[in-house]
Amino acid sequence: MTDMCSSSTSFEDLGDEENDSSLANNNLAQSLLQKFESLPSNLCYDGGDGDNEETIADIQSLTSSDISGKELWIFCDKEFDNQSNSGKSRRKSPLDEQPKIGSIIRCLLNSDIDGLKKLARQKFGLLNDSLRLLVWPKLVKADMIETIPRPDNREMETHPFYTQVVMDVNRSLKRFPPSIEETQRLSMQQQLIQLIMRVLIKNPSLYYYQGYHDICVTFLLILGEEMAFHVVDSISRTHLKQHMEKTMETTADLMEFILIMVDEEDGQLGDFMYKSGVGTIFALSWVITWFSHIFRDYKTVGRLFDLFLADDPMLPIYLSTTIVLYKKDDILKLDCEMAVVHQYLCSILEREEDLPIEELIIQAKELFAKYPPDKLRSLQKIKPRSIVTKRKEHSALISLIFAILDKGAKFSFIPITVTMVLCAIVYQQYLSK
Amino acid sequence: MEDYKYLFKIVLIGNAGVGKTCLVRRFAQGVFPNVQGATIGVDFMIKSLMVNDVKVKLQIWDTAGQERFRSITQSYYRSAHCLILVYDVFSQCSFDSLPQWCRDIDQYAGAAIAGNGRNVLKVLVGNKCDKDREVPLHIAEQFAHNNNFDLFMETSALEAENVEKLFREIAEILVSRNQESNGGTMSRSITSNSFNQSSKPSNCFNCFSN
Repeated sequence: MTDMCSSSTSFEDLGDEENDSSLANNNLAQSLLQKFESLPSNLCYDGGDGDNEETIADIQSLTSSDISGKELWIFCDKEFDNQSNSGKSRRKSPLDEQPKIGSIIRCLLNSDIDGLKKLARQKFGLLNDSLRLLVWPKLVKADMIETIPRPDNREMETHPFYTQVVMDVNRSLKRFPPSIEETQRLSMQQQLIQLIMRVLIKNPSLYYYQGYHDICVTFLLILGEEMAFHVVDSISRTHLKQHMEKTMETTADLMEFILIMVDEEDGQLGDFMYKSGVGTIFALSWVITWFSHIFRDYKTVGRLFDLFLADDPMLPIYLSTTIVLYKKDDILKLDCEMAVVHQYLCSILEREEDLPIEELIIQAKELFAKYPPDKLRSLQKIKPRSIVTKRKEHSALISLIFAILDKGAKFSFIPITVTMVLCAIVYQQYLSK
Repeated sequence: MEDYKYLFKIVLIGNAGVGKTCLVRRFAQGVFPNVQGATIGVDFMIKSLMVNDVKVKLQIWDTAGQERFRSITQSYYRSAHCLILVYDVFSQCSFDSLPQWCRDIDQYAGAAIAGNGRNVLKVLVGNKCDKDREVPLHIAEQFAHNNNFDLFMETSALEAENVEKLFREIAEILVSRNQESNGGTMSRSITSNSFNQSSKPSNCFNCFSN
């Protein structure tokens, strides 16, 4: 049992066939649950840095027989509330995590998906890769029983996206933790190609985009190929669907919400960003790769995936907004020029250790509550500040004025003058809006 | 205030994987990244150089190559002084895509003005010339000629071949165009003002007007 637990957090074992099958995963879940139920209460946290030791020790230390599942829940919530506004460190102490592990395993035992989602959204998310391996498929209700035959090589190689996928995967070196040896990485890159192509072949309406492979790497590393396939297949039809349409129009529209929210929350910053003309393309890779393209810390990426899997597909947009708002003071010090602002915003996440991720996540959820997607869509309509919208409106108005003048010319002189005056007033009103 | 006289915006476009980012990094940072991840969205680097005792600042924009990002990156063509269309001499496929890229250039940058009244400077680059080639030199030269490219060059970001030369020639052409059209008296502030105004992509993700 212990071996199975450790294999889940060890990269060296991720490619094993054992981990590739859902059967192995079920066994792992069973072993973790049994461990949770049966271990003595006097074992304590060993302080190991690696997820591996940490997980086992955590599981061991939380199995105190005098704490019922319900009490663990309460403790966890209280802990979360007390610390919601605390410092920047991602992991305060093992004590933060221990009760939560109990909660997670209880939810797993009871197949309480809502409970798991709640825990995944809370501080530190699902804590470690062992738990992610168990919980992620449940969060997206991945159908692990359905067996999909692997496409043959010919089918894969003739697929329109195959060349692009291979190219992107072959240069995804940076996304693999350095602890993985080259030979193993190369074999995982092959698995990654298979994984992506299987999803694309199964879902012909989905269009691959550069950055999708970044998301898939994370799932492959944590879940192994077979389980990653089921999870990626599931989220591609839900969370990522908006980015996988034939064009990126929907994504572009959604990204506009970032500036709308910034403007609503902080008029000064909003004005500055509108004035600079920076747009929102700086956050494109944040949103479409769930921050995995840019964050170097593998643990942060895992934690964000916990959140995004458990929450609304729009949440990356809200988190991007909170990051911009958090950097307000620095942004306002910049020259109000597109290139300067773009470059600064692109560089924010390179110093990820400066970002209080857990705090920003809480703020993102608050923003979501304050500006749900429907509200943003209505704001988008009444705040047509984008050049695109404005230009469309402008040309429509001009054509309308000329049409009226043209019609008016058929009548006498006075109505034309009146029409012209009216048009001028309307136009002035429009400009001053 | 930085002490440059001209600021030019150069945009690199072309199929994914032809080496756009490597070209920019070789020129701006003097390095060749062994494994360069895909560019998602757009990014830029700055490099200054002296042209005839005049300090010129090049703002080099690097764009995502995948077709589905084009609607986003096209908005960056408009304000460019120079567009560098890159293909891979080792990849016939990347060369075969050039006509589509040329149509995009004509559509989105045809009316773009670099300097006074001139069209954007169009440059064709065959990268990875250190490798065995699939695209013969004379075919590419003919293509560049037929499609009114102002400059054609084969480069190797890996071996730093022609990279410095490429950007230097571009800078020289842009400087001479500016000096011709302004009688050599153009001040830095005029250039950067006109650049600032034109540098706002007008059709990008949510680019807002003043």
